[in-house]
Amino acid sequence: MIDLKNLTPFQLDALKEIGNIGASHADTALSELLHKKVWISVPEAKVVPLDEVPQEFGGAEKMVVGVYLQMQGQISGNILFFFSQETAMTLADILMNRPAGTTKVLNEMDQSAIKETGTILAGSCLTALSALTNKEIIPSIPYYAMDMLGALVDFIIINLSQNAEYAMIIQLEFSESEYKIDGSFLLLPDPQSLEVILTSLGVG
Amino acid sequence: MDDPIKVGIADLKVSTAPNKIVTNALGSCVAIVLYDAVHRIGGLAHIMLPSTAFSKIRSNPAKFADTAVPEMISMMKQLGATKTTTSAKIIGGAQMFANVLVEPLGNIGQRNVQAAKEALAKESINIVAEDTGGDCGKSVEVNLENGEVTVRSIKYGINKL
Repeated sequence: MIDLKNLTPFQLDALKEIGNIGASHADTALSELLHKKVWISVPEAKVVPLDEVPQEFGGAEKMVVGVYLQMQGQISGNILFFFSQETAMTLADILMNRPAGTTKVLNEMDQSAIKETGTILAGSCLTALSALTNKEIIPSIPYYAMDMLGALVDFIIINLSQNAEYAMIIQLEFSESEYKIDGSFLLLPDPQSLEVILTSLGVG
Repeated sequence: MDDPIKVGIADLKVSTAPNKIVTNALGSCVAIVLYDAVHRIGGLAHIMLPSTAFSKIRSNPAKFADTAVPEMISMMKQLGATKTTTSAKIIGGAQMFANVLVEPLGNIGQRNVQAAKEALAKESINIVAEDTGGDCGKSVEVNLENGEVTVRSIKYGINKL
């Protein structure tokens, strides 16, 4: 099994490149979906001790809306797309064609629209990952929840903790200035899949 | 009063009155709280997995229900607690995203709650209260003055155990 603590800068760069290509796909997809210019930051690829994952993204008790998908197929892992409740309400306004500031409570239709956004983002990133590695990857259906960030990610941490003490995370931050939307998109491959990814990128 | 003692993920702490012990944002993880009401000594473990059988990395007893309970009992003993006067409360073990199963664990929250109950039964410690399952995150504060446990969640506000 690959030792996450000892990933070389070269390997981390290769993982970041997945983020870069994923980001450019996601950027286009999200801008088209929202009819707004969405900015995606330079991706990061980082290795974080499992118990520090919530702190890394703003703290365990931060209230967020999250969309979770499982990666299945030749590469497996977790995808989490999360943002503030304010962003979730604004996203709902835009997606449901309501004037800005209308949404106060996220109903089932809003939740579906937000889940769909997660699916589109995940799909564009996974298409990039799949093309780069030449591996088949299938995203699960999207799952929605609103709660404390620490509570939303702990089952992912639990899942990874069966085989590792660290998580390798590819992180994209996206934002839109007019409506002040911002959020995070995380890709957490399973440790055994990380090996598959690095090998197929020629840096195993 | 001093700041409350913080317990992280896969972590456990024991202490005495009048201190408080807290842990934040439990999802599928479970908080096992032990309290000796006579000696006013207590502990909190924030476990991730049912038992050492589920992980290749086993060095940390606070990570597993089956090892955290005996570890906490022995640490509380060193502070002067006795098992016969100690009881337990358990919190957490939710399924945050409905129907998401983690292979090979399935509903991990439920498995963790079950394992916590088994570990406590093995030590003959009674569970006097629980706030487990469901689909919401919980933060926990234990007051070692009286053993009262305060559970906070966004869905249900404050629940005293």
